[in-house]
Amino acid sequence: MTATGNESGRIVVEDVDLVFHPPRREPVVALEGVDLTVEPGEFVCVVGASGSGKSTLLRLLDGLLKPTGGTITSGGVPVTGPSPDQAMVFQSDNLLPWSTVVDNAAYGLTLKGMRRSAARKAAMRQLELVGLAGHEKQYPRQLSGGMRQRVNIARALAVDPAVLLLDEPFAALDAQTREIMSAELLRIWSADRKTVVFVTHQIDEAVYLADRVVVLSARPGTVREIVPVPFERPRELPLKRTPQFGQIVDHIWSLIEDEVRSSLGLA
Amino acid sequence: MSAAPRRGGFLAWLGGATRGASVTRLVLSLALFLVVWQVAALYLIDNRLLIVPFTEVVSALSEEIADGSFAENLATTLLELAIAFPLAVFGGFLIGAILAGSKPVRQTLDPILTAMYSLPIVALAPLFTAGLGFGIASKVAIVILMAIFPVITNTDAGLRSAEPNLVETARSYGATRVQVLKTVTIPHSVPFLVSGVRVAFARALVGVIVAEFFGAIAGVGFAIAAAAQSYQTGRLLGYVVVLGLLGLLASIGLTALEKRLAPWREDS
Repeated sequence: MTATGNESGRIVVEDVDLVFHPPRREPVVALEGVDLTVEPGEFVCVVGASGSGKSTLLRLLDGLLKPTGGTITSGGVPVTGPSPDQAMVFQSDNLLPWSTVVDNAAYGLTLKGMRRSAARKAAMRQLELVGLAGHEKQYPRQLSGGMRQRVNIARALAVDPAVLLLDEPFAALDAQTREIMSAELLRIWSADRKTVVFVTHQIDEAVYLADRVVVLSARPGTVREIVPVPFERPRELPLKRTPQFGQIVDHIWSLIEDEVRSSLGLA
Repeated sequence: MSAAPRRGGFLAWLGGATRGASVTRLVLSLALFLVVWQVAALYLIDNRLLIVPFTEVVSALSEEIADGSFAENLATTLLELAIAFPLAVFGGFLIGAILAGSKPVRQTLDPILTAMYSLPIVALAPLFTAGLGFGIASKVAIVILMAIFPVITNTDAGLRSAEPNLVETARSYGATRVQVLKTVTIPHSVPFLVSGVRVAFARALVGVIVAEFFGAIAGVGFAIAAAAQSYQTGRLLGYVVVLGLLGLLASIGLTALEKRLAPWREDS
C-alpha cells in the first residue's frame, strides 16, 4: 500500500491557496502561498490562532478539500482525494454508534474491501496497541471520551497509512487525560514512525510532540515561521517543566499572541 | 429471571430488565385494567348500553367463537391488513427514499404530502366503499392511504439526518457514495423507520375498522357496526378488546424488531 521508495510518507505543499466563495458574500482567503515539506517519519505540529486555517490545511492534505492554487503531493503523488495511504483523526471521535469497538476500528479496512474476519483481526492488534483490548465488543457510547478517541486512533492506524493526519484529536478531553494521551501517542508513533501532521491550538502540546512546529498566521493563513524542536526522543512528560521547553513555547506564543488578541477584539 | 434479589425486594425486581419482570408487568397491568372495568360496570355505571361487566363480554365473545363468525371476521380484517400494510410500508420506504435523494422532488411534493398526512383519510371511506365495493379492495385502499404517509415522512427524515461528521469520516477513509449509504445513512435511519412503521400500524388499524363500518361482508369493523345496530354491547366490546390485543401484539413485535435492528440503542 505504500508508494514509490523513499518518497513514501513525504508531503510536499507548494504555494497552496484556498479561497472559499460563500454564496452572496465576499470570498474568504483561508490559506495563501503555503509552502511546507514534511519528511517521511517526521512529526509536525501545526499551531495558529483560530481562523488561521489549521484544520483547512489538514483537510487539503487529506484530499477532502481541493486547493484553489498550488500543488500538494503525498508520497510523490498529487493528492486528488482521500487516499488509503493517509488516515485522518478528527477532533470528535466520529465513531459509528451502531458498530462495536472492533468493527469501528476495522471500518477503514472493510471499506477497502477486506473481509470482515481479517479486518477484525487487524483491528484487534491496533486496539491492543492503544490499550483497549477487552473492550472490543462494546458500543462507543459505553466508553469514556478518552477511550473513544483511542478507538478513533486505532481505526486510523489499522489502515496502516504512510501519513497520519490529526485534527485537534485531544481538544475535547480534559487536561489530565490530554497529557496522558499525548504521551501515549508518542509511544504508539515511536513503534513505526509514520509521518504525522498534528493540528492543535495548545502550544505546549505541539512542542512536546513535534520535530518541527509550523506556526500559521491568520487571515489569510500563511506560514509565519517553522520552529524546530531540538529535544531528544523518547520524551517524557517532565520535559514540559524544563526552561528550554518554556523558551520555545514562549517564542511560539509571541508569534501568535497579537492575532489571538485581535481575534478577541482586544487589539 | 430466577428469584428476586433480596435487596430491594419485589418492586425493585419488577422494575428490572429481566424477561420474567416484563411479562409480570404486562400481566399485572392487564389484570388491573380488568378489575377497574369490572368494578365500573358492576358498581359505578349502570348504563348497560355503555358498558357491561367483562364477564358478559367473555360470554358474548365465546358465542361468536362457537358459531364461527369470530374466526371469519378476524381472518377478513387480518387479511386486509396483511395485503395493505406491507404495501404501505414498502411504498412509503420507496417514496421516502426518493424524496430524501432529490431536493427538487421533495420541495415540489412536500405541500401535497403534508396536506394528505394531516387529512382525516377515513372521511374518504364511504367513497371507497361506493367505488370499490363491499369486498376487501376498498379496505386495502384506505389502509394504504392511512399508513403510507408516516412511513414516507420518517424515511425521508431518517435518511436526511445522518451526521455530517460521520459522512466526512467515511469519505476520508475513501468510502464511495454507496458505502456511505450502507455504513452511515441507512443504519442511522433504522430507528426512524421503525417509529414510522409504528405510527403507520396504529393508523392502519383505525383505517381498516372505519372502512369496514361503511360496508363490508365480514371483518372486525363490520361485526362492531352490526353489534352496535342491535345494541349488543357485550359483543361490541369483545371485538374492541381483540383490537386492543392486536395493537399490543404489534407494539411488542416492533419493539423486539427495533432491539434486533438497532442493538446499539439498548441500555447497557
